[in-house]
Amino acid sequence: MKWLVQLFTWWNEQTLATRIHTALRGERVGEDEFGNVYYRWKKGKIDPALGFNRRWVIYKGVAEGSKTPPGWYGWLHYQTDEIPTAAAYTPREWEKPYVPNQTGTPNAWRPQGSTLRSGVRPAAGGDYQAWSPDA
Amino acid sequence: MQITAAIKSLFLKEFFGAFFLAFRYMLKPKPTINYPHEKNPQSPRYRGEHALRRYPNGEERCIACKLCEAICPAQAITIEAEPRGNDGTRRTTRYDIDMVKCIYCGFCQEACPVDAIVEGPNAEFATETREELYYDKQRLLDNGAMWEREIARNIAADAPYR
Repeated sequence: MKWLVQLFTWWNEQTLATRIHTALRGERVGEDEFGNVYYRWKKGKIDPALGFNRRWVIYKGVAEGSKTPPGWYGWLHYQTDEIPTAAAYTPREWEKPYVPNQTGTPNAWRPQGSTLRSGVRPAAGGDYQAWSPDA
Repeated sequence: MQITAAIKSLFLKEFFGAFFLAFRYMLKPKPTINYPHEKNPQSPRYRGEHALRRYPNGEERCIACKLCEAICPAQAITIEAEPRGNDGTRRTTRYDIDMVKCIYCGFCQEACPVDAIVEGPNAEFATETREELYYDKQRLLDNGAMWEREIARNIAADAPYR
C-alpha cells in the first residue's frame, strides 16, 4: 500500500524519481526529531550547474516544506555546514519545540478576535477608536 | 540574394539552428531545485517571518520604544504599551503585525535598538485564510522561541559586517 501511494502521488514522502535519485546518489547525513531523513550528494560531489554540493530531505509522511526544524533548516538552506545533531547546542528553557505550518488543520493559529477562537477582539486603547457596526 | 534565401529555406536552416540550440540546452547541467525536498541557498540576512526575541534569561527584549512602528513604511505594526505591574518596566501590552500589509523591507529590525523584532529565516508560513496572518504579540514571541537557534546563528554570522 505504501509503495502504491508513493508511486501515484507526489505529496507522500517522495516520488519514484526522487527515490531513485536518493538511492543512487544520496549519502545519508542524519535524521531529525520528526523522522525526516537528510541526504547530500555522495563523496561531496559539486553540482556543475549550481556550484555546490546538493542537499535534500526526505520527509516522513506528507512532503511539506515547513517540516524542517530549526537547526536542520540552516543546514538545508546551505547557511551552515555544521550538522545540527552533531553540534553541541543546548536550547534555553524558554525555547519551544518546533511546530510545522499548521494552516488548513484544526490546529491552525487564529488571532484572538477570530470567530474560530474567542470571537472577542481585544479592546483598542490609546489614540484609536474602533468602529462598531451597531453604532 | 533571392537564391541564398531560397537555399536557406529549402534546407530548413533556421529550423535546424533552433533544433540544435534546444538540443545543446538539453545536455546542459540543470540548476532545477526539487522543492520541497531541496531548498535554495539562503543568506543570513534573509528577511522572512517576524519574531520577537528574548534575552538568554527569558526576559522579553522589547521595551516598547515604538521605533519599528514609526519606521514601518506599510504601517503594519501596532503597539500599545504601559508599565508592567511587577517591576514597573515599560512593556508592550499589544504588539500586532499585519503580515498582509508587511512588505518585508526589514526596516523594523534595523530600527530596533535591542534586537527584539527580527525577521527570521522562515518563509514557509503561507496560510489558507487571511486572518491567520494577523499576528499578535504571543504569536511573535512563540516564533522567537521556536526559531531562536536559527535567528541567533544568523545574527552572529552577519555581525562582522555591521
